[in-house]
Amino acid sequence: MEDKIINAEAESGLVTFYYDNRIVWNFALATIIWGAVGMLVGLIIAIQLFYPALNLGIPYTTFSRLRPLHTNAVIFAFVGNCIFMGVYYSLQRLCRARMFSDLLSKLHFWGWQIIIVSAAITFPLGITTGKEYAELEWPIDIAIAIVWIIFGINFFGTIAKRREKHLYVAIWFYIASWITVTVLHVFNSIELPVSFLKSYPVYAGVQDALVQWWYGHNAVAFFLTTPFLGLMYYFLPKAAERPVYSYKLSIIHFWSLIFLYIWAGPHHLLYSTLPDWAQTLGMIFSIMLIAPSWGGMINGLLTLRGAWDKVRESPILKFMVVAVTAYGMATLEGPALSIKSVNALSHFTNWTVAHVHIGALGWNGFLTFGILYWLVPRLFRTELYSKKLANAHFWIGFIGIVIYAVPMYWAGIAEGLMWKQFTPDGILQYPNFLETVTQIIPMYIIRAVGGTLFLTGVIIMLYNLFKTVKKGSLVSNEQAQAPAIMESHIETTRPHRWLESKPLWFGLVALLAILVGGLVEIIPMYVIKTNVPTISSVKPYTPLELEGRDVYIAEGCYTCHSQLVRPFRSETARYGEYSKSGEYVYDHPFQWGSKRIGPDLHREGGKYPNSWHYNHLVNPPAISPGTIMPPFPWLAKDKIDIDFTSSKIKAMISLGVPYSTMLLNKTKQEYLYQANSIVADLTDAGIKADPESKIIALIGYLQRLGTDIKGKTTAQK
Amino acid sequence: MFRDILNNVEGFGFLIMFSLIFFFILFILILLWVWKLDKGLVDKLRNLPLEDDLPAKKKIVL
Repeated sequence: MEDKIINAEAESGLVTFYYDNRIVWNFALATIIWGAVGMLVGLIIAIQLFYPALNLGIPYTTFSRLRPLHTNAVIFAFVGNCIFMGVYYSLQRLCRARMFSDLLSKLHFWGWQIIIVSAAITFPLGITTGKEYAELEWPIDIAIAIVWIIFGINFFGTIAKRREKHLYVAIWFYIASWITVTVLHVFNSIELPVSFLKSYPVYAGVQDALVQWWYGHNAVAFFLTTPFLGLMYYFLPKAAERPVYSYKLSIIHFWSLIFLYIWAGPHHLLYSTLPDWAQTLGMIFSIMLIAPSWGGMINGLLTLRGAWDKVRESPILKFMVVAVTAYGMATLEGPALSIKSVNALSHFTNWTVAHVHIGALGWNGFLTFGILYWLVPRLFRTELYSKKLANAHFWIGFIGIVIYAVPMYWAGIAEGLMWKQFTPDGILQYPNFLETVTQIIPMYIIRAVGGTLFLTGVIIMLYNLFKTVKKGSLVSNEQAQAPAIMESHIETTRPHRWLESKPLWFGLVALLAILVGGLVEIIPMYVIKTNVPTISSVKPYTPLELEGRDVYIAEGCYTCHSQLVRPFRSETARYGEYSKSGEYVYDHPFQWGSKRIGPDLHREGGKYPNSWHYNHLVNPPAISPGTIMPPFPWLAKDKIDIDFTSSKIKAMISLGVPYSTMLLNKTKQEYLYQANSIVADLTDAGIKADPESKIIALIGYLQRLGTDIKGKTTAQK
Repeated sequence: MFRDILNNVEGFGFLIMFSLIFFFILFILILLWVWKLDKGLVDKLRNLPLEDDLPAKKKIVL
């Protein structure tokens, strides 16, 4: 039977209510402020890569501690607040209802800001889990879960009390994002606390890597992408004053995307020790992702069909068009980078940095700016202060992206090729890793110029929006009217209508769609032993090495150094034997890294004397002239709390690491025995060192790396 | 291309086959679902963002 819909003006029965604009403005303000802060930190660390002295010689501003601050600030503070801003604005209007609870809205806003401030304090202090984009320690993880659930109650509560029965596709994207982020955050944050601000993940080695990149990739997918697609489907039609090009395409886009995205995590682990079947799954599903992603991009761009003259006039649409195009570029390049042969060149290089910044600056940044320019004047019932300044922002930002990305692509391909280059005699052309670093320093300088331009654009926007706000006044509670219940009146029980009218069921189906991929990939890694072949010679870290490993994690060494020698001739010639999954079974967390600003360290043990490491850590340029590694002199002064080491050993035993009770009883003696042997060696080299200092523990750890299997690889299935 | 890739995977090839078939079936179902969607409903849905600040309308079933 044909569905029939007839609209007629309501003659009576209208309910008057008020949209909460105050909460939207709060999140907008947070977006602007944290965006500027996050990008400023990004610029500082970009400059440190060619001018390391900018760390001012103190630990708190060192690259490796600031880099997680930059990524977290941009992802969770800038983009996160923008998501909430857009959701709180669009959800109320699409549901024709005020948010479920003003109190929950406030708790959500302030809770999220406190979490951001906690990150801004803990990262510079070296308090981190060492897992990329999930570096926050366990109490903050719990706080995130609580605030996220508050948001969820408020979000679903609003949907439940909606007056518009239909759920627009933007809300579908919001629902899928909330559900998936919940699942990802909970599973990736399962960790064993050893103190108030220290924990170890329950997963180890390759299993930890798989869970982490299942999370990491899908943080990109379900935090940086799907909520923004929801925003695109709402704000682009609003700004263009025309409906989305194809609603049917948006439905296909939605279901295909959320189903496929979750499988793609292993493409971050190609040529790693992850089993081949998992790598192949990640690669295939990544390639398949092109279809829904481009469906979304085309849908966004074609929404402007017949309205391109508006784009010429409107800076808002300019921002949005570039944002959608950047989304298309990034989602074409992402699958390309997931092809193993491409990844062999691109992985660990600046190519990845360029790729993610096309997404972050172009897609997230420009869509956010477009929405802000559209939204803020409406919240304040006024016109934008200056269209000219908004246009200036657009062009400065756009040129900034180009000047940022081009040198990073250049640098990435250059260093990737240099790492692999052999002479006609069959030896590495650039055996000294430093040569490949100094080669791309000019690119780092140009990149910082691009970043400065982008940030300049943001400052112009700050001024423009400040002046806009000044000349208007906030409509904190915006009056609206709607019938008490706007029935859909579609006389059908078809699946779409049924599913759409039941958000809970809708959420469950979306949950199933995202769980399939995760379960198929992760469960076999845990239940099938052959996926992680054990190696009999691999033993747990000694107490000193374990503490040294924690120093390595706290200082963020993984931000510049990988611990994964891939099975390429160019890598085994440079570093030594390729890495085996059995070598990582006691690594809570894994430390493979994702970028080689410096060389891989998995076979570092025994390569250099202790004195080399000591001098190199305290003053790197003295040992490697031209290096961009920052000095870590405080490691020679700061001490390890050795009395606490046994608690860490206990935690490791709880996680299944086979330490003996005897070791537990004499942890301190064992620690000092090994530390004193390193100190004695340093004394012979004319260096005075404290056995309890952090630097001794770190040297102990570095000297252990990769030595378990040197000359005695015996893999046991 | 897919056959080549799948043939190079030992042991867990069934997972990849299962995943691809699962997705293929799901995708076909979505296409059918979308194909059968009522045009009037689709028009109504795609205009929702543009109507949310217009005077409210009440829909009546014939």
